[in-house]
Amino acid sequence: MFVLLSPHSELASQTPWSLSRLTAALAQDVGSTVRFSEERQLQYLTEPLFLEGTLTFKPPGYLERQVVQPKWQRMIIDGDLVSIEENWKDPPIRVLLSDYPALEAFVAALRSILAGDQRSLERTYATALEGTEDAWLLSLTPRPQHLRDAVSEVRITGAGGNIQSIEIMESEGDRTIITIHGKI
Amino acid sequence: MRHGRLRALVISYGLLGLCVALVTLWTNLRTDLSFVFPRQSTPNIELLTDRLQRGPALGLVLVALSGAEPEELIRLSNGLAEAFAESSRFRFVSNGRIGPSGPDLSSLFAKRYLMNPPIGPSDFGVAALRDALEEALISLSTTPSMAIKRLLPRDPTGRLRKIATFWEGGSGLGQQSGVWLSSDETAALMMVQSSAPAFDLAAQEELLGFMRDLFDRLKTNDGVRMDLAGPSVIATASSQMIRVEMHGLTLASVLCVIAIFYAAFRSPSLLLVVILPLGFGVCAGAVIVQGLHGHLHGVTLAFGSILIGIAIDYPIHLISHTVETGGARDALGSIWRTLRLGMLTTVAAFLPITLSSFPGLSQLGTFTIVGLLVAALVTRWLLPAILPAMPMAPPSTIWDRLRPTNAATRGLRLALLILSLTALVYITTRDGTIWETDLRNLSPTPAAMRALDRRLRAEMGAADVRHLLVLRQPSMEEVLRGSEALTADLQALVEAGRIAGFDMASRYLPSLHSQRQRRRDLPERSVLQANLDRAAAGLPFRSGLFEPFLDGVEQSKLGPPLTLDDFVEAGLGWRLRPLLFRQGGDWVGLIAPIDVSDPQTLADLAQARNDPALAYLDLKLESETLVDDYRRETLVWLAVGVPIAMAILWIGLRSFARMIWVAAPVGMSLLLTLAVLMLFGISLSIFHLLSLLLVVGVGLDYALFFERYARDPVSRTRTLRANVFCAATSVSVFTILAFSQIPVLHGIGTTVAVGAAFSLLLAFVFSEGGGGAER
Repeated sequence: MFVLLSPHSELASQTPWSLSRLTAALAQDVGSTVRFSEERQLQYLTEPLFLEGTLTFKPPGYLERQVVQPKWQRMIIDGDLVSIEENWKDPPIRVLLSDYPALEAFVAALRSILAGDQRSLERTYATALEGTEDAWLLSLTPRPQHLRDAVSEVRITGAGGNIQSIEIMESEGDRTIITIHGKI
Repeated sequence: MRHGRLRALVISYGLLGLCVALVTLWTNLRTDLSFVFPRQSTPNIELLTDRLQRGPALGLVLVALSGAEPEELIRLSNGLAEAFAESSRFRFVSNGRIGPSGPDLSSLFAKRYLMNPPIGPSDFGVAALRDALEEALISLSTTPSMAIKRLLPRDPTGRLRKIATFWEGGSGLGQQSGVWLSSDETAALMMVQSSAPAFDLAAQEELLGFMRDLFDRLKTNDGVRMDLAGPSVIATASSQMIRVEMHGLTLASVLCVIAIFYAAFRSPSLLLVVILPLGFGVCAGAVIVQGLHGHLHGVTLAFGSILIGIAIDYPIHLISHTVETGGARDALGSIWRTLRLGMLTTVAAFLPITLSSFPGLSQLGTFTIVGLLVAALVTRWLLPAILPAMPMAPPSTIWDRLRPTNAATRGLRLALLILSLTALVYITTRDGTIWETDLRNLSPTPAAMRALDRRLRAEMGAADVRHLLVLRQPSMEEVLRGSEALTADLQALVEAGRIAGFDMASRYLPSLHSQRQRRRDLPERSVLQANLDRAAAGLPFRSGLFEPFLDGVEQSKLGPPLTLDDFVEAGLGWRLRPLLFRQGGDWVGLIAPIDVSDPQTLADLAQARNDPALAYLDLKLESETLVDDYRRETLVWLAVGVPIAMAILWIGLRSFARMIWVAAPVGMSLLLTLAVLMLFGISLSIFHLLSLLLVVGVGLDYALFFERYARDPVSRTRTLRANVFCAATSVSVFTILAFSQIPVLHGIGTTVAVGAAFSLLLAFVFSEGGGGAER
């Protein structure tokens, strides 16, 4: 999953850096777990919130996000179904991804990228790739109105096939910055 | 002559057509359960009627999706709910989803601090608010962009979740799943209410078809199935089944009768003549019942038509006795007295039933009597003008050979007598009840469908349908206050393990009295503001963030109270309406315990309060009592009717001994029929009792004809042939009926088919070579 693969394949070094090469590079390593830390800047609050945890992706659509700090929580997104566990004993809360556009915008982008599915990525987002193979920035602007109402932009940075950070700009002004630290 | 007969036939059918048109246009056909309810009803019986006829809510359809993993079922449930909601054919669609696309709860949300569970005195204190804010901070950091974020400024204390949890406690539904799941997670459940009127069966049927089509389009694999339940589903399925069965059964019966007629008379066209008395009889019965009762019940029409089906025997006797020299008019002169006596005796047996306090039974009695009278009159006055001079050949010699020796007759009589006595002993000494006690078995609904309905309703947390506490008061407020006053006692029963839980209207809708109390207890805005400021000290919440919360509490404190209408507007009327409704001039509140392990404690609880407004009601007991009353009354009327019939027989035959010779084989065949039914473990309903009365009518006809003609050898063979044809017709038609899946028709079919066969055998054996005619 998230990542990280031998960034330099034969093909990679020959053709110019492009979205298709980026998605191909990202798609080469899937199914592992990475640690992440997150900073949330919310309109409600006068100072940012910080949390830490792990992320796991299994193609084509399984995404698991486990928070360990400040309080344990696990969220599993499989297809359109989101299950959230707040503790070990209560049964998970199940909701639908499509009911929560802000989450959907982020998840859809991540899935397309990690699955190396350039076509679905470009269907849902206007994309702009800047920088070089060793330091790139991919800016995604949602196309569907209901996603744009929730999220104005998703910015992903990385080096080769490694994602380094994901920044989600919500339409109402909230901002989330996820930093990927590497495989467990 | 031939043209005259043809003209008479055409005119007769023209008349019959007019009668049918009259019946169709004029009669008000009802197909509800009113047939089984008494005229003089008590409030409890009305409640029972209400619960049985309408179910918890009118036009409500319960949907269960099963046969796949929960995730798949949830997806399907959501897809269907959206498609249903888009179609605008429903007043309300819910699959339990509480997302942005769920029901609009805003009218309720504005009054959230008046609802249950009540706000405790310390809930808005500094300590409680501090805990709530700290928890909110954590969920803000861990839950990415969830609904909680949007709700936080209005609801920092998680009020909405507390209310939802409290409500779900009243149902057995899987909690916290995005949609309703059954407790074992094998089925996703939904509830929809049609926007078409519930009594419009055609519209309901169309709607169910629409739902099934949508499901077929949306389902992802063939393993998934959708089950529907609810009053309208049962009603449409029943009417569909009745329609299909009626077509099939009618076709089979007609073919069968044509075959018998062809075998008997070598002339299927005679059938046209033979059904005339029956046709006029049905029309007359329908018209008279409509005139007397203001409506005709579907059961009366269907069951009554079957009962007077024996009128087909009248023309058979007439045709069989027409000899070459005289024609139908002469034959009529010879058989009319016997035919009339048989008819009048049957009518007499049915006469007392017209006085029944159950309108359905009374209708049936009237219908049968009028139908038989008219059929006999048509046979008497109309048929001779239509029938040919020589409708059928004289009996062949085969019939003459059917003459057992005197010794054989005596042997048979003895054997049948012993058999009948054995039957009598068996009937009187048999253990256990022979009576049908479930009211709903008198309705034509298939049992499997009722079981599905029960199961789904239980899953939806629609509590126990058997045990109820009933509060009856002049106003809704008094009902709600009475219900609140019971809460503590009921909670004690839950803790003692006597019941698993309970549902009541005041759970959702607090009385105005408690609402006033709660308003008083809610803090002033300035007080709450001060508490909140102290609680938020040191936490990173932006100042002024919780203004909407302060507004909400203030609105609950000063704004309008929570009413039943708020729930209806929010699409939650289905939850409250079955528990709180008007009946007559009163408001009724039902308190429905869940999973009752000890009904007596409920009865004790009601008794201990010593409040005339509160009653414990066992609906099953109530309905059994109703069925018992119904049966007891039927038995009483039979006990009155049979002696009257015997008296008529006595007068008609002008001899007590002859009356006994005619009645004895009928009584014996009745005993044997009853014994056979019991041997097969059939519970007797009033329909069986009335069928037995029909067996008496049929048996009397056979016995009377045998009794009258046994001496004269020529008449004897004609009578034997006529009776055998009559019995063949009855037995075959009722055997076809016995194949029906509708419990009532099956019961009638079995009873009459067996009874007619016994009647023929006994009447023959006891008339042969002796008996009354020799006297």
